[in-house]
Order: sequence, then C-alpha cells, then structure tokens
Amino acid sequence: MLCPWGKNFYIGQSKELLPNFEHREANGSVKELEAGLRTEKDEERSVRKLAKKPLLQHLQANVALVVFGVVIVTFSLFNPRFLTFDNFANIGRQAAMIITMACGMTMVIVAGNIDLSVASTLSLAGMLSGLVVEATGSTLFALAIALGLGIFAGMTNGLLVTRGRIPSFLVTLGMMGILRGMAMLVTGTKPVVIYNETFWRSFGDFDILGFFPISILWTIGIVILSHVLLTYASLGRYIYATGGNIEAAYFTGVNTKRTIVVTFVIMGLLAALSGVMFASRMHAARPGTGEGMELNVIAAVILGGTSLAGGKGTIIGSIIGALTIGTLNNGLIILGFNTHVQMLVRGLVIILAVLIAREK
Amino acid sequence: MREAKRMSEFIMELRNIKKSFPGVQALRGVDFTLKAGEVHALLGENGAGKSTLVKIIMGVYRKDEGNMFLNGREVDFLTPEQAQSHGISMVFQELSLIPYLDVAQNILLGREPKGRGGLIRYKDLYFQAQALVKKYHIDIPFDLRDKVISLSRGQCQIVEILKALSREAKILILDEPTASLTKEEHTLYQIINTLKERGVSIIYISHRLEEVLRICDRITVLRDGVKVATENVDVLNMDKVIEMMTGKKMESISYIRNVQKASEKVQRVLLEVKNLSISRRVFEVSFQVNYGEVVGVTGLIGSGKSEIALALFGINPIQGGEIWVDGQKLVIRSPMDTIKAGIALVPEDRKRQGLVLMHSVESNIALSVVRDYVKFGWVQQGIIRKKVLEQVSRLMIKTPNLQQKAQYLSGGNQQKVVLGKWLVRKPKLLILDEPTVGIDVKAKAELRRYVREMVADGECGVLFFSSDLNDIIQTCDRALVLYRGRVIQEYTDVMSMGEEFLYRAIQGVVA
Ligand SMILES: Nc1ncnc2c1ncn2[C@@H]1O[C@H](COP(=O)(O)OP(=O)(O)OP(=O)(O)O)[C@@H](O)[C@H]1O
Ligand SMILES: [Mg+2]
Repeated sequence: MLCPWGKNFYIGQSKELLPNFEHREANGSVKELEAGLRTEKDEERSVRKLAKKPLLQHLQANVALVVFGVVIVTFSLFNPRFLTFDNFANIGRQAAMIITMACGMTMVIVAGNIDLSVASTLSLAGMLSGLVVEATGSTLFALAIALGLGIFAGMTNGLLVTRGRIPSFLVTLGMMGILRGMAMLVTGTKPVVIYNETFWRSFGDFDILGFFPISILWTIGIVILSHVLLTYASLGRYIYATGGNIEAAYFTGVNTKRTIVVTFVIMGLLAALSGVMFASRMHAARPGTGEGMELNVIAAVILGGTSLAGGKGTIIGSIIGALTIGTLNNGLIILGFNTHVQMLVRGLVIILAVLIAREK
Repeated sequence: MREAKRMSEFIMELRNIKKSFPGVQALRGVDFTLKAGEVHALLGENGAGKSTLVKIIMGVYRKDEGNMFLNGREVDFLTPEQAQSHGISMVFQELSLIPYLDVAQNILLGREPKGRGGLIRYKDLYFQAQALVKKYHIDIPFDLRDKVISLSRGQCQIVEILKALSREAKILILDEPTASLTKEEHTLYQIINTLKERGVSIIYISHRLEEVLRICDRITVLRDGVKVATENVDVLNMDKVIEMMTGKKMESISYIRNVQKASEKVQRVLLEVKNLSISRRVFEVSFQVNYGEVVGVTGLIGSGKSEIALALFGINPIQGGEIWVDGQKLVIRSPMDTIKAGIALVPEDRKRQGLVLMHSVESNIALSVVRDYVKFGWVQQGIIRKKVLEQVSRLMIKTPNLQQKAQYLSGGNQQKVVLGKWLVRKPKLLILDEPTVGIDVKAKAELRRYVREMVADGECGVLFFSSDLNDIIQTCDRALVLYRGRVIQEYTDVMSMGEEFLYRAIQGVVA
C-alpha cells in the first residue's frame, strides 16, 4: 500500500471498519450491520491492529511523508537558513508548477496512461500567452489562448490514445516533440519578454498581503479541486475503475474512452496554466522552458504512491512527492551543491523511496 | 513400528495446519490425509479455506503452524518449484497460461527441449507434447499449435492439467477444475481415471456435489477453517454432504420454488429479439422476455450463450436482427446505450470483465450504482454504502470489512461481489451469464430465491444463461435450448422437466 493515508483515503471514506462477517448470521438487517459500524470495540480493535503493524509497514505506507520529513530535518540541521518562512515560500514558488501538473498527472496515471508532453505544453502555452498579452494587452485573453492550447493538446492526446489506439507513451512522446518544435518556431527560438504588469501580478509575481505568493494560492486551489474531483465526484470513481481494470469498467457502463480523454484534457489545462504561471513569474517566456520537467512531475507522482500500472494513487501523495523533490532541490542549492550533484542525489532518493514503498 | 505403518497408508499427511491473513483466520488447525491413488475431495462453503490449504501444500503460502509429511518425511515447501520437484502439481483456480504462446509451448514452459547453443528445438517440443497426450489417452478438443488465447476457458483448463501432468506428478491438485467445463468434462473424467490407474493421488476441489460423489473416493469437509470430517464416499449422500458443509439440514438450504401459474392478465413484453445473428456463432435467434418472467437459455459451451449475452449488452457487434425493449427498437453501440435502456449483465469471465481486483469490495459493488446517486457530479456516499451493505449480507460475502481488496477474497466470494454489483442496481432486464459457477450450495439457493423475488412484482425480467441445468429447472419460467448457435427447442413447462431430459436436449437430441 503506497498511498500515504492508506486505503481509506482514496475512496474518501472514514476509517470505520465493519464487524467481521465471518460468523455473523447472514440475514442480519442492514440496520443491524450499520449499527455495528461504529461500536467502540471495533474502533479499539482497529487501533490495536494498527499498533501491531511492524514499523516497516508503517514506513512503507507513508514513505513519501517519511522521505519528506527526513529531507527537511537533514537540511535544517546543516543550514539554519533552510528553516525560514522565506525559504519555504521560495520552495513553494518553485514547486508550484510541478504540483499543479502533478495533479493532472496523477489522474492520467491512475487512469492507466502517461503524459510526456506536459513540459512542452507548458513552454508553448507560456510563449503564446506572452505573445498575446504583449499584442493585445489583455491578460484574460492571453490566459484563454494558453488554456485553449492546453485543452487542444490534451484532447488530441486523449483521442489518439482512445480512438487511435496508440499507447499513450508514444502519442505523448510525439506530442512532446511537436509542441516543443512549435514553441521554438513561433519566435525563431527568441524569448518573449513580457512588460504587462497585470499579467505579472495575476499568476506569479505578487505576494498577497506582502508575504503570501499568489502562485501558491493558485496551486492550493488546483490541489483542492483535483482532490475533491478524484475523491468525491463520479468522474473520480470512473478514473480509478478505468485504470484498475478497463474491461470491467467498460462492462459496468463506464465510458472509459471519455474518461481517458478527460484526464488528458485536465492534464493539458494544468500544464498550460503552469506555463502562464512560469512566464508571469519570470516576466518572460522562453521556448526552452521546462525541458525535462515532465520526468520530475512523473517522479513526484510515483514517489507519492501512485501505481504506474494505474488504478491506484492520491493527489495528496503526489503533492508530498512534489514537495519532496522541490525541497531536495532547494536544500541542495542552499548547501551549495551544483546541478550535477542535485541530479544525482534526486535520482538516488527516488529509487530508494520507491524501493522501500514496494509491496511485499 | 506403528509410525512405519502409517507411512505406507498415507502418501501425504497434514497435521494441525494453521494460517491467518490480516483480519482473517483462514485455517484453524486442519488435519488432512491422502492415500496413494485416491481421488480425495475437499469441500466447503466459499471462503472455508480450501484454496488456502492446497496453496500451503503447494508452497504458495507458508503455514503459521502445523506439520506436513510426504511419504513419512516432514517437508516444508517455500516455493511451488520445491513442491513440484517432490512430485506435487496443481491447477490453480485462477488460470495461469501465457495467452500468446501455443498449447505445446505452454505445457512445456520452462522445460523446453534445447539443442546445441541453448536454442529451443521446436520439433522436439511438439513431439514431447504429443507423447504426453498419447500417454494419458486424452482426446484433446484442440490442436497443440493453437494459441491459448483462442481457446475457451474449459479448454484452457485441460491445457493446465496437461501442464501439471508433464511434470510427472505423484499428487495432482485440482482447484475447481470443472467450474468452466461442460463439453470437456468427459475428457477430464477420463484423465482422472487414467491417473488413478497409474497410482497418482488427486485432491479435488469442487462446488458441484453430484460430480464429487460420482468420481471421488474420500471427502474432507472444511467449515470456517476447521475440518468437520473425513469420510468415505460410499457412506455419504448429497444431503449429508450439504449438512456437513453448512451445518444445517438440507431442507433449510435448498430453494424450493413454490409453484406459480403464469398470471392470467395480459403479458407485457419487455424484450424482444428478432432474428439475431452474430458472425459465424449465432444464427437467426428470436425470443422474447415478458415482465415478471425468468427466461433460461441453456446449451453446451460454444453453443452461443455468452455471445448472445454479450451482444444484448452491447459488447459483441450484431450482424443481423433487431432488439426491441418496451416496444422500442434499441440502437446499440456500447454498454452505455443498453445500461440506459435498463439492461444489466453479470458477465461470465468475472475476473477480467467484472472486478477491479486492486479495489475494495465496496468500490467494486458501488461502481455500478455511482451514476444513480450523483448530485451535481458528487457521489452520495451514504446511500451507496447502505446499498452495498445490503448486498454483502444478502449474498453472504465473506470479508473482514468493506475495505478489503477484492483480490484477497476467496474465488467464490469474488463471484459474489460481481453478482452484488449488478443486483444492487435492480435493472429492468437482468442478464445473468453462468451466475452460479463457483459459488457454494447455500449461495446458489439464495441467488435463485433472489431472482424469483426480483421478478415477483412484475416490474422487471431476467434472462438466465446457464449450463447448470438445476439453475434452469429451479429458477426459470421458460427455457430455450441452444445448439450450435440456433434455438432448437423452447420449453414452457420447465419445472416438470427432469434434468436428464434437458441434458439430452442440450446435446442436440430433441424429444
Ligand atoms: N491473500 C489473502 N489475503 C487475505 N485474505 C485471504 C487471502 N487468501 C484468502 N483469504 C481469506 O481466507 C479465507 C479462505 O479463503 P480460501 O480462498 O481458502 O477459500 P475457499 O474455500 O477456496 O473458497 P472458494 O470456494 O470461494 O474458492 C477467506 O475468508 C479469504 O477471504
Ligand atoms: Mg477457492
């Protein structure tokens, strides 16, 4: 069990345990069964059961959280500057885009697919929004164009996977190249410098009440929406079912194709939004932005306990995964390691974490 | 001295075997003995611990406590390979063949004859497989070069058995081998006889009690992980076996349907199928189902039952013919259309088509009703949980709690989860495809009773596909007999027909 809050979490239900059915007369009325739900004894029993779990199992269930904790403690021991609000705001700002995209990626992967084109979508969306906002002066219009691109890219991915029956790995690998190429072509590889202040302040370069970065606020909103969608909405149920056993889901009348397309569209939307956020924070959009970022996003999601095979995973887990990677990067920079060491350590941590979390 | 004597009588002996899983005590100290050359049945309700016991013998699970002796020597297998090297082979309840390899390659998987340079010698491979088939005098209803994916489940089962035999097993374990056999039954019985003659011992798990009484020598019954008894078959009969399994008298279990006269009032037609044809499988089949009626469709495996069920549900494309529901022609593109029209299907291949194994019992059952209890896109958890609970208790699904993953339930309880998943919806037309396969006697009776209750209010109908003739006789108002994709007979007075009569009918012998 990889997800940080255990099995009760992903279907969004409480920790109530049913009394054993084993020796129960089967004709007990529903009322009776329900009444049995919240008996103290059961609670006691479940608590005791939890307490009996060996340490290793606890560790496995919450591996992302544990790694996150270890990372934070380690860095704060080495450098007092690490443990400040400013630095955490900084980590948050940097991790904001990865977290935003990890939300979409969780849905895509839980539904049984993968999306490698997110970083390219991010950069092209940033370029387009920059060009539009400079040409028209309208932030809203720029946002709309960028999101439109995201929807279009996601839709295309989704349709090629479901209607074209091409594995998502290949479809999105192709899309990754196409979008990156387009980002390069629009300006002939030149960056777009953005002067529009509304644009800056709307998505990236603004601290609410002087201390809270607006990009984090956007991200929190996205996280809550995604979590609620995956846990409480029927779409969420369909996503888990599709990734868990696509055939069984189809037999149950789940529109599996539409479900998959929707996950890609959401992914595209969030990637585009991240592009806008990045351009807004940097006051510029570059065609090369975010190269390789898709792998960070995927790593965050897997680190957070989502199964690459589909059917299992949580938004919260992915967030912790993303924060772990973000914190790791930040800490290594503060400690003065260069990017090569960062890459090396990050790779090690990911493999180690997944190794611990592995079932059995 | 006494020890030595015991040794000679029993080829294998288990003492006080215990095994628990998180939240479940699956075996509570079970003793079991096996004689050379006997067929020993292992019986019990769903979740009694049968599969767990044989998996411990096979080295799939480790026992928590107890001893196991093979030819008088204590053994403890850590892996199935170790058990195999001691001459024990098993056909698992969940089949384990590689779909894109052919039959011979599957049989000899991992032990392919190799030539110089370590390359597989295919000529020898087919020769060896052929020799195996000859040795046991088996008429296999397929070719050794057929890809496994093109075989029916029944045929796969034969391949599994051949695979086990190719290891020269002294002890063969069969976990519900006839769950998906009909036509191949004879092949199986034939193999069992040959094996007995050769002194091979067989442990046989099945929920088909008539068959058990016919082919087995001794019977051991488990209930809730405890051994109830071991008896010779000659001193037993059906009622006694059921009593041992359930701890209740036979009469309180079996579902005896009260005689119902077809109602006098005008029949309302629910489903009408006109000249349905499905490519090279089903030809011009027509029938109708009225409200308040259970219509049975029976026939051998391969007679087209599942094809029709899948087509009515919108999974198999239809070549010709029309389907009308409530007097309206139905345009079917996918299950979404048929579900909207109020049709539900309990598919035959439940592992693949029915369950999300990694998800909980609750989310599996809930999946089919999610759409009914959605407010503005949000799922109404409370109502759904109530419905789920109702099914779990009705079908006696044995699970420590609702959050248990489906993959950890016993085979029969997994079946029940799929049944529950569709019964929870109360559809207008319920299509059941072999619903009683693999579930125990008590649950079978409960299901039959439930189906009758469901149609009693005249608001829905049931189409009951089954090759278990007792299902048809005890549950249906009318029955169609399919033979090679055509309806060869329709019976309106099902209850008064004997099983033998129907049995002849499905072989194509029309009275
Ligand atoms: N891997 C597992 N993890 C947890 N519980 C398990 C596991 N395997 C079996 N069980 C539980 O152990 C009990 C016995 O299961 P088992 O599979 O032996 O039943 P069975 O007698 O073979 O039933 P059936 O007739 O349905 O196949 C059941 O309650 C089941 O839920
Ligand atoms: Mg079993």
